[in-house]
Amino acid sequence: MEIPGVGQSIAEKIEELIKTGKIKYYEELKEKVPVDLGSLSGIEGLGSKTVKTLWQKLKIKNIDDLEKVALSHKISGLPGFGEKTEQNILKRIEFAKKSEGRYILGFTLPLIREIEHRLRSLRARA
Amino acid sequence: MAGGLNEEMLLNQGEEIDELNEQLVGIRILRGVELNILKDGSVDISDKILEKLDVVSAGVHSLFNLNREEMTKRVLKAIENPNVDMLCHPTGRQIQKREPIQLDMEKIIEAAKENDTILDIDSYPDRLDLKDEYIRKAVKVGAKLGISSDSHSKIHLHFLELGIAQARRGWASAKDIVNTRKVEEFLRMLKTS
Repeated sequence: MEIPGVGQSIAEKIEELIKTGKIKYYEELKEKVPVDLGSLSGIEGLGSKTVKTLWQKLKIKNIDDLEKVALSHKISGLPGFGEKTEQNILKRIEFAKKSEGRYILGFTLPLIREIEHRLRSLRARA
Repeated sequence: MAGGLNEEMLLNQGEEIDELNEQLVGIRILRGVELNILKDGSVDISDKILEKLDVVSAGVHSLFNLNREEMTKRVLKAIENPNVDMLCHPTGRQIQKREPIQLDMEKIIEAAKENDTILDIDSYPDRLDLKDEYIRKAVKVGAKLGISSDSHSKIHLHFLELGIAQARRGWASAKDIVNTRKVEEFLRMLKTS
């Protein structure tokens, strides 16, 4: 089957992912750039470009790293980053920490209901 | 406008909706739009087009960092707009993502009541906006409330149950919520245009 935009190279990687659960190329990249992009770009105002700069200049991998360099005023020394950016980053880290370990009801509810449904059907069988 | 149809597409969509309404039994599709409130409080579709729609909502989708005075002025202007029936996701918060915009909510709720503009209870899980204490205030002063699903796909429609729960947290009952009415009565509750 031909899918537009999927050539041989991507097709092979999809196959590899399905067969082995991993993609070697991705694992290699991950090793070269061990950045927790998911949690870092969850900080408002941090896009992948900023995350890239922070990794290249200051080796920022995760939110803990980010907080440390912001507190020691290393971010405001970078070109394109000012004191205000640094303060904003700290404020947003604070905000992100508040929601740590908490999940939004509406997004988890379908899963909770599915679990409930399965548990109920178990009891019916006993 | 949010999500990006232009005026011409909006008019074409209106015609399609009219055609469907002729065929449908027991369902009436309304012509509506969610506008952007620009920095100065104006909206991004002309009055001439808005007058042809059944229901118009407007919300802040950009420039979230204005100070309290400027932001309140901006949103008040939209509330006072005779073509804007509803203020959607009034405080703009996104739970765990973004703080609410800076607003004098006393003034906003009061102005909504004065201008007959509906305040939205957005049911989307990370919005739930208005939050309970503002719903309670709106109920107290008699401002109209509406519950929206903010659906971007039909699988989002079930979010409405969250908005209903949110409304109840603010002690709203069916009479406070415009979309508990039948369609004709609902349309009569909107600003006349």
